[in-house]
Amino acid sequence: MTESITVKIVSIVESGICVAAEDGEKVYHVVYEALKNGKSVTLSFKGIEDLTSVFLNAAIGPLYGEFSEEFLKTHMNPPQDASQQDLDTLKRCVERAKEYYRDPERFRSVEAEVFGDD
Amino acid sequence: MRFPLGNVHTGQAGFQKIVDLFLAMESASDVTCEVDMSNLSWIDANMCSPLGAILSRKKKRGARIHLINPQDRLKKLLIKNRFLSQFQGVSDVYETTIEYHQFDCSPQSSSVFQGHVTENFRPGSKGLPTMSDQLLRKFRESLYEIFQNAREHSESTDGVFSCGQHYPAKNRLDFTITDLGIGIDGSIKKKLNVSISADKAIEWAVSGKTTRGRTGGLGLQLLMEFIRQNNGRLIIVSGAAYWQIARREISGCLLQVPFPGTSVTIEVDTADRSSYCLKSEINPASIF
Repeated sequence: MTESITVKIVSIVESGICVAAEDGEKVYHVVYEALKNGKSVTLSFKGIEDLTSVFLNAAIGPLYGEFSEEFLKTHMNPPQDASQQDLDTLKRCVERAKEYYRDPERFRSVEAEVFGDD
Repeated sequence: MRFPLGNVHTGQAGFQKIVDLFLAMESASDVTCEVDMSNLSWIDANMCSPLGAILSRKKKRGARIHLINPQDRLKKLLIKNRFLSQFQGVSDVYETTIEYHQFDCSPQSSSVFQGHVTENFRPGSKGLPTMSDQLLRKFRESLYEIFQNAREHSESTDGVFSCGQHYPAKNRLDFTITDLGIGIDGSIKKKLNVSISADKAIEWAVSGKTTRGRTGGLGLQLLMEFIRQNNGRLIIVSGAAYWQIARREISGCLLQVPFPGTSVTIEVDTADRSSYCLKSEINPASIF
């Protein structure tokens, strides 16, 4: 049976204000190590007062570049103590990460999208 | 050399006046620059953010900046928000001002900005208008998204400047964050090696694209959604482009002179009692 750990975000950030990319990266490293060691991870949002996409993109996004979607689906447990607003931001960041890492080159190739008839 | 400054309101005309002042000061070789405020009967206090940014740059390059002939009413406002820092402090009787601040772009500046936001925009903060908890949180998070974008992308060597103002009679709260960096178009050009006009760069950014070379780019999109729901206003000035969404309508134009960086203004309706609840509940099990 896979060992499961709970990652309490505010404990890693040492604050309920989870807004900066640098703090998101701290969470990423903890989650990454746990997943690399075959554990499943539950993110706890308990105590979070403010949360940005900048933070979550740094905390969760890069996981999709390191692990497959299937692996993360089975090893990232449903988040705990997250408000609906937090879940909405998290879900968008996860969806964006999935899109990006499925085809990074498409995201980098912006000329046709941006210039259109230029 | 003396530079006159007329009234500055939040909007295209206000930004145009600031860039005109910037251009005039850049063209002058005088060490002493006097900004003549005798014809300035009003400035939206949040516009101290872009104004302070350009004055700060001039000062950093060795100029002596004097703000002269401020009218009494305006002088009190600009003292209260600490913009006129050479004067003695005056108590903020109406408690509607949000102090002018300059931050550097270091990781440590995040904590300083967080402290500033926490002090001013928590339930019970001095002078805070009555806002629902949800609206207040969304407002705070919007400020963080804007600030982090400026810090991460602008490459500003002059730092990031912020200022705000509450207008109780209008149920309006304005906050502006400005950097003197490479602009959104400059950031795209640098990171994706494509040339793009300033106005298209803003359109690209608010559509949720990213330059990071990794996932991201949702901040401005989330901000737009919030402002639409609140029926507030979002203004983005970057280089020669002025872009805004107001009353749920998007408009834009080109400034006659480019602004030397990026300035983002968020204006919210403080009387908004919307629930900001999602249309359908998200199941945590569906996230990953």
